[in-house]
This record gives sequence, structure tokens and C-alpha cells, in this order.
Amino acid sequence: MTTLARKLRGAALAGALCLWLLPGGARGEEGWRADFDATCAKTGDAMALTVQELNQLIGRCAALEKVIDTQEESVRKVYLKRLQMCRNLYAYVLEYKKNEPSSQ
Amino acid sequence: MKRIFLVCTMLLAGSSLLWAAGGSKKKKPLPYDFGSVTISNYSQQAGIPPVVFDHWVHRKNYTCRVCHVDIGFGMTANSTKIRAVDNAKGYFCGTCHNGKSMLGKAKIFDSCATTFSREEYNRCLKCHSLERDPAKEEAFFRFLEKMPKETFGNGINWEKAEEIGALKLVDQVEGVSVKKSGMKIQGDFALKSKVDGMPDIIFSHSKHTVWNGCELCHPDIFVGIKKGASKYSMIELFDGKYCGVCHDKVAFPQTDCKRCHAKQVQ
Repeated sequence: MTTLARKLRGAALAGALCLWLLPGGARGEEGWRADFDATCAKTGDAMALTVQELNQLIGRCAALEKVIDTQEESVRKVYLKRLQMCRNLYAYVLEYKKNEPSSQ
Repeated sequence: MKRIFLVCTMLLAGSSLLWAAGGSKKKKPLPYDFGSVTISNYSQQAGIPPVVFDHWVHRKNYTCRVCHVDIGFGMTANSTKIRAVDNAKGYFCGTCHNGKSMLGKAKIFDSCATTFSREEYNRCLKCHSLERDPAKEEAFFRFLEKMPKETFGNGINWEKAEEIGALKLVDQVEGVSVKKSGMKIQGDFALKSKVDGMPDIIFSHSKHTVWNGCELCHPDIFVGIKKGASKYSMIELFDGKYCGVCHDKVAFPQTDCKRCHAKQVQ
């Protein structure tokens, strides 16, 4: 019983290690999608963001673009379009904030 | 009042003349057809008719944002370049039309397949068809009966329909839509009318963001960052720019002057 439990624990650890080591596998895909969701979740609230926050989000969009560019065609088509809308809005609000009378 | 009526008449006549001068006078669509978009990128090469997409069928259940932001459909016909393989992988139409997703208690039918049998071909024809479908037409008129009426467009006051609870629109698709942190709605503002006697325009951010979010309009459609800095002409609007991206095509037509030129004359 103890041997079986030890073997199972070993197999689970090996599996977890394999997943962790996969560079562009399932873990990677989940990673960029979660990052996409987190980056583009603030579009409805963009006017409340600071110049620094907007710059950070635009930077994250640029990093995401590189990852999405390596995906298969359907994913690329959908997510590059979505990312473009999200990044452009942040850039638009940033431009507005920079031209705000209070920021000068 | 007479003056406003005269300006509206002149605008209508002017826009008709513009279309006529272009050699392609637009025919006013029937209520059932208003908002229909013909999509033909790859269908004909595949030996099937183009898709006739009915906006009314979709907008009675979903906000514009779901499809044009979260799913990634472009704002003009044929700009998205949807392929059967995209749909089969669960993107574009296939996001919901996958034979599994539900709308209320009804299962949403499956969209394209890259290979199909003769029996399955009938499923293709649900969307890939240029012929008039009396059943769909009847479904539209049955739906229209329950909706608040409007003179123009497809005869439905969509804004009022949502206001009175006749429509309950879905704004999030599980696994597709980004969970938003919140919406800070910008205030309404007035735009000065260029014509004396014509009431100023009241632009409502809240009415527009509830269906579209922010990124659908800014900066792709409205690029100006300073209020009042961009000058819009009715000619540009009738030509499909700015408000004309949606109004006239899907949202109420711009010939319904009073819907936008709504500020009380002092």
C-alpha cells in the first residue's frame, strides 16, 4: 500500500514537472489567454486609469501581440483583432489624458 | 417647426440626389430586410450561395458588443473573411453555432462543416441562401408585433424595447468574453447643429455604451479626442462614416432627424 502510494505520488510529480517544462504547450496557451483577459478587462474603465497604468497596459498589449502572432490562423485572426481594439482604446485614452488641461 | 420640416426635406432630397448621382440609387429596404448583410468571401468558390445575415435575429438576443468586440466580427460586410474552418474550430459564427451552446432552453444549431453529406447540406442552407424565406419573414412579423413601434428602419424601437424589458440582451459569452472590471460611463453632451432652426444633437454615451462598450467606437470610428474638434457633415454620415457606420445600416436611419437632433430650442 505504501509502495503504491509512493509510486502514484511520483507519477503525479513527474506529470506536473512535464507540464511545467512544456514551453508552448497547453500551459502556455492558457497563460496568454489569461493575460489577454486581464489586459483587456479594463477597457470599460479606461478613463479612470492613470497615464502610467495606460502605458503599462499598452506595453502588455505589445508583448501579447508577439505571442498571438505565433498561434494558428483562426486564433490569430480573432485575437489580433480583439487585441488591436483594446490597445487602440488605451492609446486613445492616453492621448486624451496627455492633452487634458489638468495634466499640463 | 416649418423650418425644421424644410431642412429635413432638403436633407432627404439632397441624399437622394447624391445616391442618384453615384449611379446607384439606394432602394429603401423593407422592414424585414433592414440590417441584412450579404457575406460572400469564399462561399461561391465552395459552390454554395453567400450568407445573408439578419441582424434583427441576433440583436434581439445579444448586444452589438458581444459579436463585434468579443467575437471579432468587423463592422463592414466581408471585412472579417470568415472561413468554414474558423467556424468549425469555434470562432466567429461557430462561437455560438456549435450545436451545443444554448439560448434559453433552445440549442443553437451547428454552423459550417469543412466536409458535409447531402443531408447536412440543408443545414448549410439555413444561412447560405439568397432566396426569400417566408418562414423567417413570418417569424420577423410575429416578433415585431410584440415590440414598441418605430416609423423607420425595421419598424422596431430597439432602445425602448430594452427600456421596457421587452428585450433582455446577453452581453457576455462564457469562455469568450473578457470579464470587465466595470464601466465608467462618460456624460452625455450636445453637438451644435450647423443649420439655423435645427435643434442641436444630444449625444448619449450611456445609450451607446450599453450595447457597444467603448472600444467599438473609439478610436476606429470616432478618432477625435477633443469634444467639438471634429466636424461631422450629414453628407459624410450618409456616406457611411462616423454615425453612419451603424445608423442607416442596422441602427435607426439618419433620416429620422429628431432621434438625434433632440435638444430643446431655447
